[in-house]
Amino acid sequence: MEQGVENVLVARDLKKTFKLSRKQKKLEKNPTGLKVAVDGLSFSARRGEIYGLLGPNGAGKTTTLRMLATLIKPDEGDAEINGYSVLKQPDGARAQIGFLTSELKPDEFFTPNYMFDFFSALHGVDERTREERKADLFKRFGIDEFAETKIAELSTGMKQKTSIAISLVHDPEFIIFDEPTNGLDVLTAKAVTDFLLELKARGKTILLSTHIFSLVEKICDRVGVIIDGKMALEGEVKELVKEKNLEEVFFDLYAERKGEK
Amino acid sequence: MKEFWTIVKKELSRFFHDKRLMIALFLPGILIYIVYSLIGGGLIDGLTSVDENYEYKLYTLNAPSGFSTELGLDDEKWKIVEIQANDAEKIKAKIQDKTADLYLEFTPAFDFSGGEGAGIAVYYNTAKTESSAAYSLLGALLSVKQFDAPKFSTLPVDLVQEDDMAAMLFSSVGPMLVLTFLFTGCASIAPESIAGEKERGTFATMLVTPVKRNRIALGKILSLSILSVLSGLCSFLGLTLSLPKLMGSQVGSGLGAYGFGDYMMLLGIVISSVLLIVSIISVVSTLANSVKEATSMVGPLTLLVVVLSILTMFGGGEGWYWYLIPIYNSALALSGIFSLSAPLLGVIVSTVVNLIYAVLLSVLLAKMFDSERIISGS
Repeated sequence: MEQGVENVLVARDLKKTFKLSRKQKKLEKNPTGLKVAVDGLSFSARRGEIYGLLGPNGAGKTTTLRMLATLIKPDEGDAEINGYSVLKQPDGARAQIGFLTSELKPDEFFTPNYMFDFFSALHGVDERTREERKADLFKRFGIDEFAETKIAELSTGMKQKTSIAISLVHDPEFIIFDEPTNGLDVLTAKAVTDFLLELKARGKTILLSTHIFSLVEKICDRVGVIIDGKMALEGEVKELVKEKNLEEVFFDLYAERKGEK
Repeated sequence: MKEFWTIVKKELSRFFHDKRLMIALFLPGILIYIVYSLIGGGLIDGLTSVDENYEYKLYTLNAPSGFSTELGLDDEKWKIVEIQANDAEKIKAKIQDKTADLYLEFTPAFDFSGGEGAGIAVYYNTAKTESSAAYSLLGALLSVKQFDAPKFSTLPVDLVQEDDMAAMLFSSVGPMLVLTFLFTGCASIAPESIAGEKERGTFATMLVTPVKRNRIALGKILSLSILSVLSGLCSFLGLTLSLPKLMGSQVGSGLGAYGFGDYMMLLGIVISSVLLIVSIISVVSTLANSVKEATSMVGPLTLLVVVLSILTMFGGGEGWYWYLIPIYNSALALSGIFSLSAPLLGVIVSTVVNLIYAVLLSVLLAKMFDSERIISGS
């Protein structure tokens, strides 16, 4: 750890192997039936930092995020979220984590208000704090006008904003965003991006997984590139893009690793 | 513990605010009432309609000469056979076996103009459509005769047996209909509650909260069980309201006699079956990654339920051990209850076994919520 810099996330030698189904074995021409999704991954994220995670599909990004979110356990290694081990203190770690995936679609039958209250209760947030946070987040995203409207009747952007709000009910220190701007129109995407910067300014640590290079260049402080479950490159974004843009850096690295042009 | 109730409350709220789910859950009970009431009507129609070319077999003893003309019996419709006194028991047995339609036993030296102790005993069987129709026809003719000259008595004797045809018919199709309705009701809520959460990604968000996974599982199971019991009670109510119509006074004596004990057995079987079914569907739904996948996985189970229920039509189930087989035990017990011949031991074994299976499946479900392979769908 650098002097005076506090790491909110510290991942050490994370490894995860999946057993392939018969069908996957055949498809991937993998006779062992085992796939190493994440192979000894180590990285850290500082307080008040946005850390970008880049990598092609199947590189191990989602598996890494799931291990950090305590959804799955690493086979080897461990990670600490604000001092809590995901292996040994998963409940403590969960209290520190906000987790939002692009797959999250809140139950359309409820209202944003109900879903916010529901997740607040699961996180054990008291009523007064809940109402203060709700007022703040709903106003920030313009959800307050639709607080009592069924989620089914909201636009895609408003649904995504609702998802973000309900993943932050407990004001977590460490927030995992997996493709948060996927499928959003430019205005909503900008609102989400601005919010990430706002969270950073409030001292929150954000781990952002995305395919959008320009987004990483624009808002991330540091970036890690995962290829085949390993950290292929890690560094300060401003340092990496001195000579060429991030997209070119990524493709050159990918070609080098894969022996492709 | 507070979080556990939060999950239960949310699940129940989800259900009570969704008209689609509510209809799907309570529809079985309403359908049971409507369908069975209609079947009842059809059953009665079937029981009372006789081919217009049918020739009734009427046996008589001590019949006065020319009695058929006296009563106005159509010769083409009635085949009348005068028997000897020593054949009387044999003919009664034939009526009981449904191979004869009617037997009239006149008092010796009977005369329509009356006399001391003049009377006619009319033997018939309501379980045989033709016998019942013959009795109705002859009864009407005798009533007319009585109206003209009320000088003799009539004594109707119904030789119907315990294994009444209507009860047999209903006990063969009833279990299949009840179990299919119950299964369909449960299949409409469990996939939505579990596979739906996985599909929407809210399941992962729930798992990232500090609430323990077994509590999430228990919250789901409890809320689904509450809803399923409500559905079961609705189905039970539908059955309770439709059974008297189906088997009651319209059919005849001995059939409308579903008592308190029968209804209690029915309640036990319906509730325990519903809990078992919802547990089975919950486990299947947890294996699926989407509601569509869960529904397609539940499809074959519906067929299995139908097949197991149909098997009761072909008899079996004499030993208590048959009542250890899930679903089949419920079908057997229902069949017994509907035909008024439920074996108490079988019903108790079925209810207890169903509840044990439901608890075991709930434990399995809680374990499955801990399996990252199942939860992450990888």
